[in-house]
Amino acid sequence: MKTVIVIGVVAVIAFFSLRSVIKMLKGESGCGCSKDTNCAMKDHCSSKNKNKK
Amino acid sequence: MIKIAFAGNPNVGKSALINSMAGSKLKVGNWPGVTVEKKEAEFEFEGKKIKMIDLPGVYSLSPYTIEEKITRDYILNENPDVVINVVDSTNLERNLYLTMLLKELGKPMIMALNFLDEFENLNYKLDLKKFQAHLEMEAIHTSAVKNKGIKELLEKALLVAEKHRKQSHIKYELRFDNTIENEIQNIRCKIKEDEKFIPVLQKYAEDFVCIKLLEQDSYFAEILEREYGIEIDSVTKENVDRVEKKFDEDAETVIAEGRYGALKGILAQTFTTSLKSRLDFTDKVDKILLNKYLGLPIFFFIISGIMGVVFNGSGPFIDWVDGFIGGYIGKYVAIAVEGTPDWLYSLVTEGIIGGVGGVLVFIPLMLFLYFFLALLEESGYMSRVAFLMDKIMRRLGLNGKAFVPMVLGFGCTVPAIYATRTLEDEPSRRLTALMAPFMSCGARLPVYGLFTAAFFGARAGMIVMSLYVMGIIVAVLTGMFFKNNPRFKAEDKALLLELPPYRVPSFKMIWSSTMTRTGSYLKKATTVILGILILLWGLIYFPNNGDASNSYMAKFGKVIAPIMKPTGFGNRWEAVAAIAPSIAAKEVVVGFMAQVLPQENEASSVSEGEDQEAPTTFAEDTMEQLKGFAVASKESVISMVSFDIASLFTPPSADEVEDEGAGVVGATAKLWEGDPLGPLRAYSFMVFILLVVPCVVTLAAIKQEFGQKFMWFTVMVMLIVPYIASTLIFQIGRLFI
Repeated sequence: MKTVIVIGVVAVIAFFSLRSVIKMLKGESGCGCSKDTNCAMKDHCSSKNKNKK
Repeated sequence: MIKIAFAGNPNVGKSALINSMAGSKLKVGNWPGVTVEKKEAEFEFEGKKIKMIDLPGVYSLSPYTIEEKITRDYILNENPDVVINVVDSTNLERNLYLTMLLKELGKPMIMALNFLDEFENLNYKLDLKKFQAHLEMEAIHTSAVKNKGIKELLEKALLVAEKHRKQSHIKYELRFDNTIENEIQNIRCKIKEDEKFIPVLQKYAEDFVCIKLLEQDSYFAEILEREYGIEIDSVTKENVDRVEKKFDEDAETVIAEGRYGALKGILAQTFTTSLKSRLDFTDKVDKILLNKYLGLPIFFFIISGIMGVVFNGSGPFIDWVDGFIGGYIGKYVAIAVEGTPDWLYSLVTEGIIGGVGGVLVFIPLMLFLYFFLALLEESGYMSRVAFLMDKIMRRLGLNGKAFVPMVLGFGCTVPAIYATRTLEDEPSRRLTALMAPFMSCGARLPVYGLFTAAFFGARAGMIVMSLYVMGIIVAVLTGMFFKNNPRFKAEDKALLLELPPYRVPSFKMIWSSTMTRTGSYLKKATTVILGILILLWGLIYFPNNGDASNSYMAKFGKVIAPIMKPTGFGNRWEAVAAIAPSIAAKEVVVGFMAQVLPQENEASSVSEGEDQEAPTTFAEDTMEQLKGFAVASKESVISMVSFDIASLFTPPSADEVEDEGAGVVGATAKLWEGDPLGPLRAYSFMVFILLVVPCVVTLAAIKQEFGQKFMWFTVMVMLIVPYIASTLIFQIGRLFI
């Protein structure tokens, strides 16, 4: 049971972190597309990631 | 949604005003050109949705630079509901020229007279009522730093937007000389009778069209020809000839002088200066800091001092974070995953906690560095660095202006690539983009932090400073190498850089900048870097279940190692293998080292010790960490206060280097343990990391700005140059050891 829980937690962490790696490789992220309005790559962020305050 | 555009000269506090209003975190700095492209912030005020657009700072709206085009195109084409013209109230004469140009665009406007506190300190006086009447717009005194006038400015801006909601253009009085006024009137009559101009006048204000036709503005002429099939020569040739004949100057200059005449007239009637000038202090300081002979030595002295304080001050905190992650978080995570399969246990403790922990250990270093970088930017010293380097660059036949984006590269290379837009000609832009990635960005610092702590002890600050200087030297040499190539042959242009006055940095702004940058580092470490480290863990763990020296990564490293042998660090596959993932993000090197190098874990050291420690409870461990933090804070203050610059130049004692604890630093120190050439190999490795292909995001920025072909060219240069540099350093250095 413990193994299953740990695998589940690790899978979630791996999913989100690998997703950000893929985004970076596709040029969709950079210095950060969420709240980082200083991001020079902002124009590359997909619309849902653009800064909304 | 109400769109408010902020326009003004560089370094007048547009971004800071937006931050005050919207609570956003746009980058600000006492440095012209911080905003290179337009940025946006959205928020709600009194139930209204508001979008604020921060336009790049410009002195004019002529289409010579990309920033000027961005600002002008946005106001003309995107029709903001109101334009807030931000001006430096302590330098009205220079700032109002842009106001005159903005008025010609015929949009609803309001003025923010910023730097109220400085204006008051200087005892300047402005008859606000008369001033507003002359300019035909409301003007509000503001101070972004002290949060004064911000709400009033926003409320009035919204009123102006509401008032002119249905007007496509506003007619302002432009106050030119009679001859110019007559010619403008003449052109107005002509274009009103010309059917071709009907759509043009629907889109642009009449005054703007007439003035641009009289100025023979090349950019506007191109738009007219391309979009409306109108050739401007046929419309205005005789008007232009008449103006030029009368004034014996080209029409553009005559009109520019007309604008200056008008604004001088307004200021003569409304503005009183005092004998006191804020430039007095700046001039006095600049006489020393920009001195022909002292300027550069002072710059190096300041940088070495900062590096010393950064490394001494952050050192105790780094040790504490190292212990906190390894001995506290690591301990409890290990307990939590105990009993799971070996691969899972290894993934969690070594792959995730060990890897990311290794990167997070350097958060104090980043915090200290970003704090001092922000301090330099806010004080106004950073633009002096560009000014100092301009002379050297020009003497070497390079464009002095190139150093402005390069200085930005000390923070992050990505904005430095975008900042090349400030250069007028394409060859200069390309050459600067090729040089800028050699500047040592913040992401490289954790790598220096790790290797200097492991091999150089108290000399860390000095070693890191030498790397920063080396980045500049290699960038300049690369520029000199390519400057005669036709694709990079730049026009010889003087650096026209406005040196901002020295200002007492606002702690609020420095803190905000430091926290934003450090937050980005933290976010990067727990997302992108974590992802890469998970992949790397797989390549280190398999196929031999944790035997790193026979892993896929080791095989890769060992294949490349012979090629890297001349560089000195090629004798350790771990160092060679770290280079490839460093191209994704430089900080990965630290995490990779933490994963791949065997670290002494506490359990084994305890069992080997003579006295077995009694098991501790969670509460005891937590108290221990809190005490540790207090001790680290005390030690940090002591080491900063008692900082001795001479220690930077003193070789470390053997104990100092060896006693690096059980964490990633200790493990890295064992990379070349007992090897007299160890420090030289480590230095060669750091030089390679400094000069090798920058991160993927920088490559994406280069591709976006200059195309794929140029990006691959940059990659090639940034593989060859580090190889040559590291080889030379190691081969020459070993002759002296």
